Amino acid sequence: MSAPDTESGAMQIKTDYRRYIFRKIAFITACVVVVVILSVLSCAAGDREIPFWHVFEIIWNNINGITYEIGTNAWWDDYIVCSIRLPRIVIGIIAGASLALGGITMQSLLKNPLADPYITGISSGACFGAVAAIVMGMTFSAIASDAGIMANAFIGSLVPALMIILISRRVRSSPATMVLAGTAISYFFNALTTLIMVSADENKLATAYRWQIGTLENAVWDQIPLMLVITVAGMVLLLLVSSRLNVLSLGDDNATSLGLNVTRFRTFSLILLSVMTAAIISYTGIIGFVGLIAPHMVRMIIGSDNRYLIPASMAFGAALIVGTDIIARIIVSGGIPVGVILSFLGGPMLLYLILRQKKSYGEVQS
Amino acid sequence: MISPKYASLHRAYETMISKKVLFIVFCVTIAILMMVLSVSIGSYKISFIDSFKVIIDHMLGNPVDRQDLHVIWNLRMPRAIMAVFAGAGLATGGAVMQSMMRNPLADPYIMGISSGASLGATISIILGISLIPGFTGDLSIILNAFLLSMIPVAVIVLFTKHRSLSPIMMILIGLSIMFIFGATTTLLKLLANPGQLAEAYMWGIGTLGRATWENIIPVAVLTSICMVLLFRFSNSLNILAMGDRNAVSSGVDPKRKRMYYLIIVSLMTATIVSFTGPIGFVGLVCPNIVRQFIGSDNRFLIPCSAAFGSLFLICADSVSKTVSVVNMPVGVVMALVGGPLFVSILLRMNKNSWA
Repeated sequence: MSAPDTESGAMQIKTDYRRYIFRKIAFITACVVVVVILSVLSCAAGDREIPFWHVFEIIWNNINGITYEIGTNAWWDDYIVCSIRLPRIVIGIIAGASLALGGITMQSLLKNPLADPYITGISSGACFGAVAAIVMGMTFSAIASDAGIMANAFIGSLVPALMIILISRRVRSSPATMVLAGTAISYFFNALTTLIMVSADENKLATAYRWQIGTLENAVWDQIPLMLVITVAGMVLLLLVSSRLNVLSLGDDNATSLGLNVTRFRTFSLILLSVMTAAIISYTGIIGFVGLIAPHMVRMIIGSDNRYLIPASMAFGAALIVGTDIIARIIVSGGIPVGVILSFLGGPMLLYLILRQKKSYGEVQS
Repeated sequence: MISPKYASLHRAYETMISKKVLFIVFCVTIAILMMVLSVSIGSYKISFIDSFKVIIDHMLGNPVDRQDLHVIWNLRMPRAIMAVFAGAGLATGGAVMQSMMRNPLADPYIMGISSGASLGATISIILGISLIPGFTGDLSIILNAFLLSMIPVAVIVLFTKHRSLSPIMMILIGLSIMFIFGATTTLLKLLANPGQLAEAYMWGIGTLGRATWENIIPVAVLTSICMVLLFRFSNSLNILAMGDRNAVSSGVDPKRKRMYYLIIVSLMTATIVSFTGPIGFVGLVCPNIVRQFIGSDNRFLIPCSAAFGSLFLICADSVSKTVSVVNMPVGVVMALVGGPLFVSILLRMNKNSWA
C-alpha cells in the first residue's frame, strides 16, 4: 500500500472518529435539551394550566425577587410554579441522574448487566431505614429530623450493600444469582417495612404506602440542599474513579495485576452508592428501575464507552423521571406515583434484556 | 449376592442411607410433635393435655366445652394442618426448583407465583372482580389468586415454544413478570380506600389464620398428589442436577422434563399461596438447610425438605400466635427468621457446592 493511500485512510479514520464522537455529544446535548423542555412542560401543565413561555417569565420574575399581592392570579401562578412544581422537578432531575449513575456504576462494578440499586435490594434496605425513622420515630443514629431519616436510610441500605460485597467476594456468582439474592434481600426488608406499616393505623398506612412506592408528591425546597450536596459529591467522586471502573471491566485478576485493589475499590464504591441511594430514597421513596432502564437505553443508542455513557445516562435518567412524572401527574387523573409507571416500564425492560441475550447469563460461571 | 470384596463398601452405603432415613424420621417426628403442641398455643389459654383431651373427646363423640371445642377444633386444628401442608409443599417446591434449575437460590415463590397471587387477591378485594364469573367473597379471592399465580409458568411455557430457554432465563422471566405484577398490584392499591388497602395489604403478607376445615381439603389433596409425583421423579431430578449434557447422555430430555416439573411445582405452590397468601423463604431456606445434613440426593432431599418445611412453618406460626402484642402474621415471622438464615446460606455457598 502506498503512502498517500495510508494518509487518506488515516484521514478517513479521523473523520469517522470525529463523527462518532460528534454523534455521542449530540446525543448528550439532545438529552439535556429534552430534560429542559420536559421540565418547563412539567411546570406549565397540571390542574392550573400556564402557557409554556409564560413559565420562563414567572421563574425569572421570582429570581429577581418580584412579589405579588396574595390571592391575585399572578401570585397563584408564582406560587404554583415556584413552590409546588419546581421543587418537584428539581428533585426529579437529581433523583434521575443519581439513580441512573448508581445503576451504571453497579453494572460495571459487579460486571452484571442486571444490577441496579433497586434490584439488588439496596433501595429496599434504605426504604426500611427511612420508614422505621418516620413511623416509629425510631432512629439508629442520634441525628435529628431529615438528616436523621437519611442517616437511617443509609444504615438500612448498608446491609444489602455489605451482602453484595460479601457475595461478590466469596462466590463467583452469575448475574442471575446476584439478582436472586437481591430479590430475597428486598423481600426481607419489605416484610420488615410492612410489619412497621401494619402496626400503624389505616389512615397512616395509606400515606406511608404512597410514599413507599416512590413519588415526588411531597417535594419542597427545604429537602433539596442536603440531597443535592450528597448527590453532587457522590457524582464527582464516582466520575473521578470512573477510569478504575474501566480497569475493573477487564476482570478481577487483570485489574489486580494492573495495581487496583479490587476488593477495597468495590467496597468503597458500593458504600458510596449506598449513601447516594439513601439520600434520594429518604425523600422520594423507592423509585425503581431508573438505574436499569436509563443505562441500557442509552447503551443501545451510543454504545458502551463509559466517558459518554455516564453523562448521557444521567441526563436520560433525569428526563425519564421528569417525563414519567408528567404522565403520573397529568395524564392519569388523580395522580399516581412515578414509581408505579417506572415499574411498568422496568419489568418489560428486564424481560427484554434477558431475552436479547443469545448466551444466557446462566450457567454458573466457573 | 454381594461379593465379599464389596461387602464393606456396601455396608458403608447402607449406613449412609440409614443415616439419611433416620434424619427424615427424626424430622417427621418433631414435625408431628410440634403440630400437636401448636394446637395448645395461642391467646386463648388451654393446657397441652387439655387440648389433646378436647380433640380425642370430640373424635369419640363425648361432650366437650363449647368454647374449647371452637378454639381447638375449628380454629387451631385447621391452622396446624394447613401449616403442615403449606410448609411441606413450599419446601418441596423449593428443593425441586433448586435441583432442576441448578441454582441454590431458585424458589417457585420468587418466580412471580406469589406476586401473581397477590395481584389476583387484590383484584378481588379492591375491584370486586372475579375472574371466573359467579363467585364472590373469599372464594373469588382464592380463585383469582390461583389463576394469576399460574400466569408466569404459562408465559414460560409459551416462550419455550419459540426458543429454548436456559434455567436461569426461566427464573429471570419469572422475576420480571413478578415486577410487572407488583406494579399492577400497587396501582390497584392506590385506587383503594383505606379499609380495602388494609385488607389487601394484610393479604399480601401471608397468614395461616384463614385456614378452615373446608379450605384445607383442596390444599391437602393437591399438595399430596404433587409431592408424591415429584418424589417419584427424584431420580430424573438427580440427573437434571448434573447438567443438561449429562442428562441428555443419560437419556433424559432436560428441556421437556424441566417444563413438566415446573408446571407441577407451580400448580402446587399456586394452590398453597392462594389460600395462605405469600409466605416467603420456606422454599429457599428449608431445602438448603436440609442439604447441609443429608446432601443433595433428591430421593432423600424431597421427603426431608417436606418434613422440615412443615416443622419450620409450624414453629413460625407458633411464634406468630405467641407474639400477639404486635400483629405479626406468619409471613413476617418467616421473613425475620428466613432472611438471616438465607444470608448465612449464601455466605456458606462456595464455588464447588453448585456446578
